[in-house]
Amino acid sequence: MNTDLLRQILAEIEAEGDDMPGLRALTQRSRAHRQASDATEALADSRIWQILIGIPVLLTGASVWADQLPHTGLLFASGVAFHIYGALLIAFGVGIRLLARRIDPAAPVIETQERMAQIRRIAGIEGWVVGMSWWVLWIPAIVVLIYTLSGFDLFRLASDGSWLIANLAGGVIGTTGLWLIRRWARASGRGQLAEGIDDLLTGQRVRDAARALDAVRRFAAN
Amino acid sequence: MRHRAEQSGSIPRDKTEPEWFASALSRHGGIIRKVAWTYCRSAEDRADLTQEILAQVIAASDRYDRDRPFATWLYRIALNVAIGQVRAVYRQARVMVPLEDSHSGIAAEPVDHERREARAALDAAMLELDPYNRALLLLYLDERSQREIADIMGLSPSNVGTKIARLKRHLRGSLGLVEPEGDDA
Repeated sequence: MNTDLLRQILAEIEAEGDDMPGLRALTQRSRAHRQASDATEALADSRIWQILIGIPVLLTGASVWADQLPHTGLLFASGVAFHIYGALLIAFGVGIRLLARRIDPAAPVIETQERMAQIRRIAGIEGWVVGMSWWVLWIPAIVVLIYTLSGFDLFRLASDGSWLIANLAGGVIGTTGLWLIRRWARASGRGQLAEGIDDLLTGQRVRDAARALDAVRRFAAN
Repeated sequence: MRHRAEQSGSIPRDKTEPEWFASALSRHGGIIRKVAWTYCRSAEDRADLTQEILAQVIAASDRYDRDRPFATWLYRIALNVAIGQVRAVYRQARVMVPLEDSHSGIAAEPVDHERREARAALDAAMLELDPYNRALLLLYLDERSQREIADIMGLSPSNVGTKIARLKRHLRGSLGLVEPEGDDA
């Protein structure tokens, strides 16, 4: 077998079939379609909501811990946790938005693929941190919200540490619920949902993205 | 070797933007077909990938600089979409997709035995390679110059030369490839 024969085969493939399907129709579609079909644009836009949610979360947390500064305790710690959570929402949102906007599908392959792998890795870490932290954060969140709305400190009702037991019980119930949803998703043929839950629980998405990043860097370096 | 100017195409510049773009895309549509063939095993996947590439091409068309070679620009988008999509599909399936019997027979017209065998062998060779080396093999077989491959991939021309030499060694082993004299691509 020689290279010329392989090139002839490639030329056959190039000449096969009709013209690109609906090519002219596609090129004449509206600007709205162009924008909708730009996946990186959509990824960047989706983070605006995350940033908008992160701002009040951060401010609420900050106002609670600032208010409790003279007598630091559980409510103060909850305010700090809420503040950090808001900051993480904003930081991940801004980071992914900036990276997504820098992706140019017409840029050299190595550059684009490296950036896409970086985004996937950050989005994987974000999903894990932002999603899983609720198993710990749900009681502090309730306490912070009630304090903000009414000025009442719920921890006063549970100074014996029962809040910790409730928090742990919530975590167990939540994880079991997630596992049941995963089982139902698998049984009902919703493979993507089941896989998404698997990824969230095991960090698979982050590992996949890290491997993709390694692969592109290895290829560029060798 | 095919003449590069012929491939990059001298498309009349007196046309309006949409006409010019549609004409350029028609002229270089084969690039999308070749990329789809390189990365997809089934006709259905190839059709999906072709649509996805076209959608990205249209989305990026506003940013195309007419002074840059259209074929290079189109290759970059097509490969970026294909590699991204292939990774997503492999991730979902968690396995490599096996070669379909019908795949080597996608040509409507009958082909001779040697060509059929060569096509199946090329298919198998592509399947063995990672997405980046597949791109490299495609560009090499499409007779793109080292400089152009470097421009598409984002590598230095010398790095491209090294990788192509390595790829040829690999193909000599897996396909028993014999190169024509003076093939320096």
